[in-house]
Amino acid sequence: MKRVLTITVLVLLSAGVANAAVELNTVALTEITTTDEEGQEVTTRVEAGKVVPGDEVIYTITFANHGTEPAADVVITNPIPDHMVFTQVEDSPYQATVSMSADGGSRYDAPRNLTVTDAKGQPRPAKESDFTHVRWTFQNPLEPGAEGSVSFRAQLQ
Amino acid sequence: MTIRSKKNLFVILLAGALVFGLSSIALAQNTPSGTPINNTATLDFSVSGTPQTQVVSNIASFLVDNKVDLTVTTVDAAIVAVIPGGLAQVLTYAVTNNGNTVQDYSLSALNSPTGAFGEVETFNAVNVNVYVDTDADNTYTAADTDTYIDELASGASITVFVLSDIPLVQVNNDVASYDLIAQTAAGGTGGAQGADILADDAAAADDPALIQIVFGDGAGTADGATDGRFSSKDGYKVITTTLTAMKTTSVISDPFNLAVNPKAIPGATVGYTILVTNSGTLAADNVEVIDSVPANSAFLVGSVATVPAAVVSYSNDGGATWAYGPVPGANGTDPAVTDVRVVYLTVAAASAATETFSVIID
Repeated sequence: MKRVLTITVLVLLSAGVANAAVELNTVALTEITTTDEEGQEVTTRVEAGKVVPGDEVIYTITFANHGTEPAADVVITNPIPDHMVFTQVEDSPYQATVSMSADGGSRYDAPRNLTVTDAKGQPRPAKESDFTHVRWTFQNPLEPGAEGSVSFRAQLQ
Repeated sequence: MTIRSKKNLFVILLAGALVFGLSSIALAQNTPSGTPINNTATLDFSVSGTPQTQVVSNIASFLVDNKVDLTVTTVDAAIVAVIPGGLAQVLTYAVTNNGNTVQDYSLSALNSPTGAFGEVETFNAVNVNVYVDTDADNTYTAADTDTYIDELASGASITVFVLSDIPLVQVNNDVASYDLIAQTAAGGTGGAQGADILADDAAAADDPALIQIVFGDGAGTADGATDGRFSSKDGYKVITTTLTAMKTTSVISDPFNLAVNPKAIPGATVGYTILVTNSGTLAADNVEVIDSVPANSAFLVGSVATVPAAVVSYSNDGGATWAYGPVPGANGTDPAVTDVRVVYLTVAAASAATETFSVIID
């Protein structure tokens, strides 16, 4: 709980300076498939509470501009958690451009442009398990009152 | 705009959504249960061209749960051959922990209604016991005394033996089969058997802060999927000898035609051949073949030949005693011989023994 309180203070500080209080939250979700009364399979998302290796987790990052000024040049960055392998980006609003990093966040680019060094010292195209960060670069400002979310999927190793 | 890379297909939609179509990912490792998985995002922005302090999200966290997953396999490449009365005959299995947590396993050998390796089940062995390969040499030895698997690490395998006695009454081709069932039990305490985990937490509410149990095992030969158990079938097959005898007759010569198209007339020499075949997979020892000299004919002394060599003896009293020594008469026969006995020391598996002798028709 201490960490959450600290973040709140941070947000308030930035709001005080810029009058654009942007709130950021993340949640880990898993999909559960159940069968309804009519025999139809229904997929719902719940907070990730039961996760074993091989399961896929959906990380949803919600944002909201509670301030009075537009927030421009918005960039959301999310390191891929340890023991997780990135599988795909699911949601990218505000014409956000998605870029990835395969070197711990030093360089971001489209996935196809990323390379890593293989065991023989030769560069090879980066694959899913090489990605260390996912980043959304918004093309449009976040107007006051605007809110939304980005999300990506990752698999527990 | 569509961009194709060598392996993966990326479709970028100008509306702002981006989807990566990536191939499925092979499991590189098995993250141990209890590992916390934390996620944090950051947001940078500017207002009126002035960069603002970075916003850091909360931490989304959950604990990796206990994936219970195991396999049992039959190590024997074929059904295990045994003999009637065989003691402590060994079936060999392997148990593998495919989950992400150290586990104990309870073991039981279930008498199978169906035969292993496609055989037909016919009997039950006795004194059936299960032992773990405690000394890890993949061979049953007296040191293998554990009856449950203690503290099997994630990804590790161990050999398990089922030992049984084969009743003396069993006959060739009898089959007894056993499903070895491994039941996942709580690990974490070495030297003590943990409690069986009979149900997972499927019915319990998901809890990110608890290590919950998720059954992820498949179905074995005697258990269902996602039940925390796995099983595999192995069996014994009684192999003894199967002996068959075949007797053929041929006229060797007669007093008129001699050896050319001889006929079975008085004075003719008639040969008998007795072929004993062992079609089993075990050698037959002390195989005894007794044949009576037919009526109206006399045994030709010295005519017995065998392959392989055998002990030959004769009876002059219908087989009651076997100490008679034949004495050839004028035409080489001894009418006193009533029976001929041949004893082969051994007839090897999948081989035959041949005996020939001759008589002269009265």
